[in-house]
Amino acid sequence: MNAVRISDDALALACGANAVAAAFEAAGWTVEWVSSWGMHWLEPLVEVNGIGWGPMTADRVGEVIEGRADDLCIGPIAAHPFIARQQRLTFARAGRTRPLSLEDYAATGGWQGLERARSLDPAQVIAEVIASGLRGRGGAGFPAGIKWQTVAIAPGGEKYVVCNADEGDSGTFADRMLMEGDPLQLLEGMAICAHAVGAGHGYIYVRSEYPHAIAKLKSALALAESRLAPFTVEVRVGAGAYVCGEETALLNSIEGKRGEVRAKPPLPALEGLFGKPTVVNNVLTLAAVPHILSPGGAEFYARLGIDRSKGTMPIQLAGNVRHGGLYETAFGITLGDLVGRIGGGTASGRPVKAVQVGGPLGAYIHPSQFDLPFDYEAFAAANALIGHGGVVVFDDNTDMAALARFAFEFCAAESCGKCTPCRIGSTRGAELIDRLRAGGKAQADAVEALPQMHNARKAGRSREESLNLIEDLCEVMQLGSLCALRVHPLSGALCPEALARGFRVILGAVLAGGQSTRFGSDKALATLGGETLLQRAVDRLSAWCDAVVVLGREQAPAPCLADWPRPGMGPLGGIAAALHHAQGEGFAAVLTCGVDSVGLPEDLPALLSPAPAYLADQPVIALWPVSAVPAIEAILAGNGKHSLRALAERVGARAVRLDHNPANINTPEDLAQAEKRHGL
Amino acid sequence: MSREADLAAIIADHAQRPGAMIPLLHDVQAAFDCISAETEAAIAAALNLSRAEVHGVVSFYHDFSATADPRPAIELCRAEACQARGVEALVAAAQQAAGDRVRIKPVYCLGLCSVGPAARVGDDLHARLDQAALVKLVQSA
Repeated sequence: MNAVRISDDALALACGANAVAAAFEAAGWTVEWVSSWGMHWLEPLVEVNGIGWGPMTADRVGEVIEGRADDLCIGPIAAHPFIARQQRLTFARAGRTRPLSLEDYAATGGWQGLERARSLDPAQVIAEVIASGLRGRGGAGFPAGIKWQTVAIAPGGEKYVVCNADEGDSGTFADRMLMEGDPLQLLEGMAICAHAVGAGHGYIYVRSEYPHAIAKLKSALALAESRLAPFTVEVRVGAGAYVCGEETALLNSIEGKRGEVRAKPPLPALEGLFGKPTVVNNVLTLAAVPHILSPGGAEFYARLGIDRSKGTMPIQLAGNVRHGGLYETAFGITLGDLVGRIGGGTASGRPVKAVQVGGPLGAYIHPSQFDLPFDYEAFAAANALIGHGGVVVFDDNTDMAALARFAFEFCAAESCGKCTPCRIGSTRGAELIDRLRAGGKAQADAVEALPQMHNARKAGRSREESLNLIEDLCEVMQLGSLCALRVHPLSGALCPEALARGFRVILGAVLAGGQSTRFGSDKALATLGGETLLQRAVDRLSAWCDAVVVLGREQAPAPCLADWPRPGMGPLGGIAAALHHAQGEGFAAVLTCGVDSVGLPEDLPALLSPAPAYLADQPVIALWPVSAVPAIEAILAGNGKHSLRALAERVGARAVRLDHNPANINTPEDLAQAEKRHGL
Repeated sequence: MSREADLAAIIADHAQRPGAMIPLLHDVQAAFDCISAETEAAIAAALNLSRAEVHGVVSFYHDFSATADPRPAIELCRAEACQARGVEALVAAAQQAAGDRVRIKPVYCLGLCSVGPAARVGDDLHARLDQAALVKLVQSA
């Protein structure tokens, strides 16, 4: 009898695992449903005698049965670099066992931690958890053992263990995978905790968006009831409120109240669920415990990681990433390694613009900070947050301002309403960003203009002032809210410095070099409509760009940059200098024009998007992504022609044809004609 | 069984457990597709609360609604990871295919963040949606 192993993880099912399984069954094969290995780009992944094929489709099952489909074959799954490089403790069973098989669980070391813990004094169990250095994996990173100790010594007979499985951050799925793939391990961890702190009853609060996890947990509970006894566990289902992932809001929700945040103190460890001492730990924290309590486990765990971040972190690679999935490894790995070496860059093949770590309330991190190691303290020092370990990758097409707005919008929809800064600030923030994006000087709105709004500013705000105001608002929201989730839509690296950087999408570059031979005098200083051509070009680009630089001059109404690598390289030298500058300052692309480009169309950036693209008749007007740097360096270093068209060809730029080309001013006659045409 | 009897049975199922409200409301929402003012009053009486307290909870959570919507619903994930994978570009076409017949509800994360855009119809999940697949999903809802 032939057997195939397929994952019944919700993600594999969403990718079509059922149809694949049905095709195998139709061919007379036995399907063994196992947990997911966590290589999501390969799901549905099928395994026959340890060899894997994926991503599998039903129509190609026949080829696998015949031992073909070589293009889908990844060889021995356990030896795949994505798996072999990991250090899996919490996810040691991922891909290897049947989630609801007591037999598989016991055969892979299951229940050993619980049996050993129950043979020990509770204080000794707590001492081992403290020694392991395990910190809360939900986001705050509070030492788990210390929390347990507080509950253990708290007065009162009735105590609770609550598992926070309200995994609401976008880009996180480790809790879900663990609950679906290894639910017994979570229950074992809860039972160990209950023994340590003296709790008789526990709750698992799962979000309603996870129907598969809920079903698995309920089945696992029925299977393990006698093992867990006298400890009892109940699964509670959330009701679609993000804020219930915050521990005090979660406790209110279990109690049947609105999921509003509670002020601390009192700490939940002293007055938690129904006013009793309560341990609230994340799924991953509790699931790490059975390993720590196995013989020698605590010591082994403490040896992994760096500084005060001990053990392993199940990191989740998500969003626009080529190799997305679950990557459990010791703390200390850098973000760059995660995104580039392990994640394989973006799924779209475009450059990475930013990664979001720590969910909606975490931070957007710029590639210039990719040497940041995964470590609670290092992230905190960079004003970022590890949170639940979700890493969402965005490519260079991403509109950061739209994401900033989304952060406010999400916060407005999900605010529990308890704290004024979050409840009101979230809506005001979205409005501010709308005004900022509309461009120009932000005018006072209808409400601000009311006479009774004494403190509201009546005059308009410049872009700079608007940005400062947003920064201010974020600070008030962060410091003025109770929430341990730190409801701060633009916190961390995005704010303030990188918030501005986030808005910096396009750098404008006026190419003002050249000899003006045909013009006779310094063309840049010739006037049209009372303004110099240079000033006009800078102003024109300013309307579209987040900053403007001038190339090939020493004095200009905008910062001047020297050509790269030296003057006299023609327009490419200027473009190269602008691209280098853009790369260093975190821009995504450079919009170039000549000093003599008059009458540029209103929608020029849109016409030239996506970059790279140029105007067919005036290639000096173009949009170059910063990823063009190596190409331009190679051309300038080579002996070939230093032409714009050579660059365009090399980076595969699109030629855009217009019905009406902008004027190109080469002679005083051209200028006179332009004056006439523009009615100046 | 009548609606009143159904409601009474659901309330009886939960009334004695600690923190009965949310599981009770889930069952009521599943049975009647909404939690009306009268239902709130009945629940309040059974749990020894004011109707305002029950209404406060019902209106707080996205999963509970005051009025029924008989249309089939598709929950489309609009959170950051699905945005990074291009969900926003699909919304207009999905809305158009849905018209007034199908309800397209935003949801913030289904935990399928590495294979988005993702959607949920009942307990069925769908991932790696492109425009054609999403429109097909809407049409077959």
